[in-house]
Amino acid sequence: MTLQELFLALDRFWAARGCALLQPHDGALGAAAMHPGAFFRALGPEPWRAAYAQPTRRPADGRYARSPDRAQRYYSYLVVLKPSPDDAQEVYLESLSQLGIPLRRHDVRFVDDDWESASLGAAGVGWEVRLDGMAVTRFAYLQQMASIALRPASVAITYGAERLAMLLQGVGSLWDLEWAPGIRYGEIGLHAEASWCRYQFEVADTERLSAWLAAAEAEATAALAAGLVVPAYDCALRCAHALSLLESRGALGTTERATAVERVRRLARQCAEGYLAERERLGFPLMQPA
Amino acid sequence: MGDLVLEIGTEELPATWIAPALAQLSEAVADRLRRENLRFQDARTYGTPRRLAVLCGGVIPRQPDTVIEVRGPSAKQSFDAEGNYTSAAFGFARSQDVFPEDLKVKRVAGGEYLFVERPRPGRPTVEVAAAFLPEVIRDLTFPKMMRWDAGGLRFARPIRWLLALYDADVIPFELDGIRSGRTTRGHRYLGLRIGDCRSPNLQSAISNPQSTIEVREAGRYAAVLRSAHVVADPEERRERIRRQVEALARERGAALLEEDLLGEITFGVEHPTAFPGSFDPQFLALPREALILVMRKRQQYFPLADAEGRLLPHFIAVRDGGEEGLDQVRAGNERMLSARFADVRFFCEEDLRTPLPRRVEQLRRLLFQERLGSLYEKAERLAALAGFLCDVWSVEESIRRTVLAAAWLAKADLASGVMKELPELQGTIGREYALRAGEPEAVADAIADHYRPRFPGDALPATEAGRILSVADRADTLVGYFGIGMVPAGSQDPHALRHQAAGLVSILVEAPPLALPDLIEGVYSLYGDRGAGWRSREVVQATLMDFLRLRLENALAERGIRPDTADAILDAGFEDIQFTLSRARALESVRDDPAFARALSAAARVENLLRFAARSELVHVPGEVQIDLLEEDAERELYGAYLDAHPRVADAVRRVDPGAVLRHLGELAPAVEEFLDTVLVMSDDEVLRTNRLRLLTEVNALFLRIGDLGRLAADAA
Repeated sequence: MTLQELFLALDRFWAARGCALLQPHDGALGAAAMHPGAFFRALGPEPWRAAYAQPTRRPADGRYARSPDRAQRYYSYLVVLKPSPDDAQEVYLESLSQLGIPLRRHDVRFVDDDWESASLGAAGVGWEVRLDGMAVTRFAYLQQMASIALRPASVAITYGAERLAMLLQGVGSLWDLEWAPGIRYGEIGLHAEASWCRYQFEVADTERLSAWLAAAEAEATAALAAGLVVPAYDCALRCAHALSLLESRGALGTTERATAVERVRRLARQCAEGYLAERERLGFPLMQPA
Repeated sequence: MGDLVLEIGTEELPATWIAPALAQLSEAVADRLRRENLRFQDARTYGTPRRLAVLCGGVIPRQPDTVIEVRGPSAKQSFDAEGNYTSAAFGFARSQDVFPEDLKVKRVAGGEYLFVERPRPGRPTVEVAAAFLPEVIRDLTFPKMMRWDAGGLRFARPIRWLLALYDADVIPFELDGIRSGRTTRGHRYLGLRIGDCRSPNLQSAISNPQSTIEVREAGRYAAVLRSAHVVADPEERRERIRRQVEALARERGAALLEEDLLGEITFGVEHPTAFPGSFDPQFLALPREALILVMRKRQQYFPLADAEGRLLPHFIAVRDGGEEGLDQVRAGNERMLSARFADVRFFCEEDLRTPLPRRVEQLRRLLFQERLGSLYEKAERLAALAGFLCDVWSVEESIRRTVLAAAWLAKADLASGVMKELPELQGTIGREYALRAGEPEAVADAIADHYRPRFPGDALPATEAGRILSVADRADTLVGYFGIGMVPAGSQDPHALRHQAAGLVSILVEAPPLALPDLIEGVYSLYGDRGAGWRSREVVQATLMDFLRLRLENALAERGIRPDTADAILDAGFEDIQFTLSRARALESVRDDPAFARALSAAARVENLLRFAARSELVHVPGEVQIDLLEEDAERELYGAYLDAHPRVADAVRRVDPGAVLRHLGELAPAVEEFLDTVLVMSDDEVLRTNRLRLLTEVNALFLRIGDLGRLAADAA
């Protein structure tokens, strides 16, 4: 199964289970759950089911394309189910079977591993799903988003697309994955990966990045003042990314980092509160009539 | 008699939480049975990642019948002069729905009263348990709780089913929308074997993705699960894994079995099957500790070593499942391990590009603690402190050079890339990188050594240089945190200062003499003034000494010193830890000796008298004993004995010979007794009284050289 077939198979599987297939967010995200289609929709009482592939950026995970399974940019496939169904685990396992992974012939384990995003004030309780020793999915019951407790809780299932494909294709390095027939992952992404690593670790100017962080924060505040929560959230995401770039350069002391994270978290919280107020004014349109 | 079983079916619980939860569960159920008067024989637990269960055997089927008594009016109010019931008595009978002839008179505390006795039939076990089992489940606690739906229930992970049986009967209850029943779930992936326990045929196994299976009788619980490929008994799983791993290891080398890891794996699987795997021998060039850490902690594999302890390019892993597809499972695990090793290699390669001195420079950017400055500043202080300790202990020149070099490099590895991935390897990586940078082996060893003891019970640093550096590092951390007032309180100790202090004490008790206040003072002055909120040196001295005293009490207890001996010793001061220990040992060995008991009681009498004098209004002025005022024989004798003993005791203290100190004090005892028996200390003559109290004060001070002996005698009495 090529990587693109994997995405198609996941789309089909989750569309058949009532998920809206969203498209990736058009900005750099450090975690797929930062997508507005997960961040905002996890808040409040309205039900929501969505699935999408999302390129994810983790500058600190860059290895100059020299690691077989780590990169500063990779693909997540996120499914968010709200409220959390009783059989979420079973449905997830069924999706693995449908991808062509006979569970009896593998070792599938739910190893406890809670998820947290300090800058978003997000927290989930759950597992890293290990398939034959390889972490292929993060499975979490979201408890908190933007520092707001979630009732009902959502389930967020984040597949690591490359890891799963490596297992399905039986290859030891993501760069050897078949993306499409005759086209390897390395062909598409290897040069870019190495370039990004050089840029992030060696070239990016920390002073300009700090200025960028400050500018994005000011924009977020301005948008919030005008009551525009979605654009404000986008600016907050830019802050979060600037922050992880600075971090990967080792340019932040512990205190500076904590202060910056706290500032972004406050922005995220204000966006979330604004969104909730907006939905309430609209009468929570997605609520099923009782 | 019957069996009662409760199974809480969950999504996968964190492995380390299961054993404590089982203990809680069994204790809670046993406690409720007892309180409900339901006798039972035993309680045992079963647990896997997906279930917490308790099975109580020999539970009686219903509570025993009892009688309850309802008290009515007093006898005085209930009978008239002729001994007939009054209206109060009739009213009571009516209110209790009995005939007046059923009323009884009983004498209780407070007089005679009317009573009605009402038999209370015991309720059936099923009914009683149905009421308390939901509470038992609700009351279980975990290190972290979560919610999974809009209901109010919080638990470690979502509860998906509840099985509750008394023999063949379901104990019916509902918890947050989940109804109890007789259905459990088998192994997730192995499902049900055809023909098991009248299990469904293959078709229905497919249509039964949750592998549900019914338990007809409580006593069959474990057997039914076994037929569904779940080994419910943790001990059985653990031993099965141990056997499998040892058998596989025998053909290859020796498995580096570790009980913690074994336990973690035991509680991570329902149906363990061990299998061997290998990795590219090229990776053996990476630091051995890094390989072991990745295998054990990140991947939960058992590493293998040869007879000489050299690591082999093999491991043993455990899967949750049977033999099916084992080659595929092995291949996946091998790929994963080699990716993890490749990551470590990447960091090592990147790290080694940076020369060690530049790595030390990078410590300027890493904070030790926000208000205590960078790790670079810490390294500077460590070098200065190490020099101070070398002076105090007059260590030889070669070791001094080693310590000073190591102090400077001790924290350099914290700025390395590997540390981001494997923070547990602090020190170990420092040693490795120092060696690769061409530092002498002794320096490298001291760097690794200075983190010891890493945890309670860990070995002390093996080298002298390591011990010196460890003392310097711990003293620096403690004084710094106490200086900014971050003192552990209650169970809060986020910076593990108690462990730091315990490590410091355990090294110092085995080290040459060192005055603790000097050490604290030395570190304090190295910190300089840290601005607002920085505690004064007196406060730091006092609070830190109190803190160290508690660690010292533990250290003494570990060495078989009784708590009251320890108190007697510590009350008299513990500035030099090593001398404190030898004083404690000496006192501990003589305190039960009848001959020494005399010294103890003499010391106690002196102390009591001085305390009395201090409390009374007869204040005495401190000062020298006036020889010409010593009127009586016993007085002069005591003074002579004191003058005799004083230099000997002082000398013995100087030689750190507490045995001799005690011996000389013992020799003083008869003169003290004689004095106290025959001389009136609290004389009306103020001049005489003052002189006598001064004499006793001197004698008391001599006793205190070893410890608060009077206190020990008082405790014994």
